[in-house]
Amino acid sequence: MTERNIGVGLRVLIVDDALFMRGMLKDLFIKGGHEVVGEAADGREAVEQYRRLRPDLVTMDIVMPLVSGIEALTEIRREDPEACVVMCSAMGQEALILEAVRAGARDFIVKPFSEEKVLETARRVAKRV
Amino acid sequence: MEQLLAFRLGGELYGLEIAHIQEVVEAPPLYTIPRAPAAMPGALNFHGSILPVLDLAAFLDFAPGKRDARVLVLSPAVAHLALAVTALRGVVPFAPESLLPTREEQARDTCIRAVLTQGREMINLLDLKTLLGRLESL
Amino acid sequence: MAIDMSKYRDMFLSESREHLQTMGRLLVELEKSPDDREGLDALFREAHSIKGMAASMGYRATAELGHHLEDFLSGFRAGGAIPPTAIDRVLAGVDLLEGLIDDLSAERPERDVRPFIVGSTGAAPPSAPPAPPPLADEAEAVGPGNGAVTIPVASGEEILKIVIELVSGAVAPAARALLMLRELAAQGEVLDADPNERKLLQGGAVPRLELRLKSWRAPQEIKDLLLAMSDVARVSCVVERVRPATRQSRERTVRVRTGLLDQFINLTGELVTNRYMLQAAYNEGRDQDMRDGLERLTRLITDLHHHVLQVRMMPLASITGRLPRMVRELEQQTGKEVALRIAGEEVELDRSILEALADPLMHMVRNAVDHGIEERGEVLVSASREKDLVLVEVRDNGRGLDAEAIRRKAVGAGLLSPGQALRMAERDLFPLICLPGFSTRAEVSETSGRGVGMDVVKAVTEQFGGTLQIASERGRGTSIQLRLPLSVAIIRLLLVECGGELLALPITRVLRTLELERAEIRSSGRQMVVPLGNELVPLLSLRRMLRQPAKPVAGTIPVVVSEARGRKIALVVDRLVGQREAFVKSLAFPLDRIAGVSGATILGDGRIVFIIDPQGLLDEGTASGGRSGVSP
Repeated sequence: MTERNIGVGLRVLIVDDALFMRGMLKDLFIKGGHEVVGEAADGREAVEQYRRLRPDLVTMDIVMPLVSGIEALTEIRREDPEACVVMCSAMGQEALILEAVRAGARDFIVKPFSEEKVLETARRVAKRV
Repeated sequence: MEQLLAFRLGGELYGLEIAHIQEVVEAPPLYTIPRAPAAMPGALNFHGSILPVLDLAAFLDFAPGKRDARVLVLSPAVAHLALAVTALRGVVPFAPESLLPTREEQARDTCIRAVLTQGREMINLLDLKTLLGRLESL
Repeated sequence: MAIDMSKYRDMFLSESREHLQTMGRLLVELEKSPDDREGLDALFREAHSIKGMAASMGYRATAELGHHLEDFLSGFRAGGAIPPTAIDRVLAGVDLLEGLIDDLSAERPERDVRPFIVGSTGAAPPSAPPAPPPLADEAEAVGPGNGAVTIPVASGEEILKIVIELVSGAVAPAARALLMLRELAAQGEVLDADPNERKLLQGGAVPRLELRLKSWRAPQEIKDLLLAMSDVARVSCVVERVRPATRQSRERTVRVRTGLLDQFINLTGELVTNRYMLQAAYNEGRDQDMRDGLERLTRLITDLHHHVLQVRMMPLASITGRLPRMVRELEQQTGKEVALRIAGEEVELDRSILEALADPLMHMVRNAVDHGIEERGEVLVSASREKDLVLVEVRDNGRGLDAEAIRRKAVGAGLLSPGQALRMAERDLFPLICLPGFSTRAEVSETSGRGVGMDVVKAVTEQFGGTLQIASERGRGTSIQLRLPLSVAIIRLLLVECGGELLALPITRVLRTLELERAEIRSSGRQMVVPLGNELVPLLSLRRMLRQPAKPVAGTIPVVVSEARGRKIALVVDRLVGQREAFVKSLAFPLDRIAGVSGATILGDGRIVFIIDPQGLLDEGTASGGRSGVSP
């Protein structure tokens, strides 16, 4: 059973190759009153899901197999220039973060995540849509 | 001190404040304006603006003669117009308070706003307002 | 605090005029159906908008009157209907508002509105309950009771100086700073930043970001916004002292549909892609790809051009708004019963054409009511597309033009000899009403006699390369047709050579181009003519019209067939050069003082080509055009 928070929560797509990270983010978003509409484990899947689901927000891991987060971001933004994508990165990926911002990422969060920061970023970024 | 650009019209020495001049253009190609008065030898393409050239000497009825190939493009705030003169002289600094006023009818007939004495020479300051007024009834 | 509101002034003026036009139209409609609730609501909203705009601009009298009208209307809104006396009063108020807008437009002090407002006490609906504050934002803008208006402090656009310090351990500070710049760009215009975007894209440490932002937002709002972002340690945001504007520019504003702007963005994107494609093809020497790329570029430029012109297009509706009101007033003055029909209001024309057409259109409608309609009748104003032209027509079903009266008047005014007048066919007589000073004093009526005449209608039409046609039938009515180019900025020109000069004619003024053999030319009296169809068309020398030396005719004679005063004329030129599309520049003073020259264009090589208007050349030359004729 999925909970619907109509008008309050965001519809979120989580993209990360690590099942553990996806699970953590999913719990975090649901706890924050949002709806996780999809999950993807690589960039190609992310683009496909985005096309189908048109979520309000995407959290995108930068480093992933097959199609990278930045490539997926670029592809998604090409289809939907208004797409709201927040990059998730580890420490020491500054050049990649810069590239992602350049490619149109709305914001970025750095692991380890603080629950508060993720939700705050999601709220702030998505309200511009 | 202000500056004016001095030039000859026939045998007379005239001047115009630098502030009213946007640029002096070297020998631009001129294109004939259909039905223009004789004192308008053509128009020049000044950075995409079409400016008519007014031959001042001819317009102010000085004896016909040679014309300096250079033209004075007036500042767009003054008018979309370029002036041709008999010969350009050069920049002359002057103190506004040293200008001598002219009589009104002189101003009207010869477009002279004031006179400046420079050693043994006199420079007539061109009255743009009267000049443009006379162009109203082309 | 000095806020420069002058740049919003023009926008205010044009929008207020639109609101006033709408009010006029609504009032005329309400007069027919006084209990139209929606109409009454709409009218109220219009008054409300004017008040609000005027108040934020600090125009006290205008705001006060707007407020008063709003108050006055709110009573009838509650009652659900508006009586004719109240309509008259609001109409008078609209007139007064128009006067105020004129004052503001001429930078005069606003005229006094107190007499009007004080005079209202008797006219208010006695049965109307006291009006509740009608809209939620009312309380902010307007004080209670007695019509006094409190002017809200206008929040103008200001330049904010912002310094942001990031926390020391921030990850990817350059990326963070970029996001901030982007966020701030959404709140206004980033004037400069240190480090700037280019520097930030190179990455590295960014302890602080300094920038100037031009924005409507209050400093505190910007500060809060930034503090909410990650990794921000401190923010300072202060208003920079506003420098006095160097010169008050009176730029005209246009409203653009956002859809159109999106198309511009898409096109820009495609142009960028195209550039890279061409670059790559060039680098690798791929000729076919170069050709394809260039072809695509041509298409993109055509698209871009088309869209740019779209920005300038406005519907006819933007100038027909005043007509219902004017016809209503004419009805009252003349006691006639006139149904005004407007069709094709959605047809779009270039805004400069529309602006110039507003007064002529009113004049034609006035003429139709005044001189056309007898007791009752219909006036139809319509617009429709005809290929590259727009046909604007004013037609009435009234008495029609009196050819005999025109004949008499033309002879009386010395425009025609009695013999000429007698020989002239009826349809050739009609264009005479467009000659300057044709309407005689006796005929000047209270309504049609003011302002512009048919000569101005014609001049405006021809200024844009358009044509005017008059058709009329006794007892059946009159139709005046203006054929105007869709847009003025770019038109097709016919280039001709004459006396060693290159000249251009708008293609819309060219009926045909011909090469005549000597044998085809005949003489009729002292005039050379050429038979075209079943007409004898007079040959005129363009050289002579331009006061150039004559040239002996050798070989075939190139001729441009055009129209002047509703009749065909054949202009003899030296050479027909060809057609081209050109961006037409209108001429500024003093070039605009030269009759017969309607504009100019600059060719790719920088040459200036002047555009001539055959009609203008003839008008300037001589009343009959005979002097320019080619004599045998």
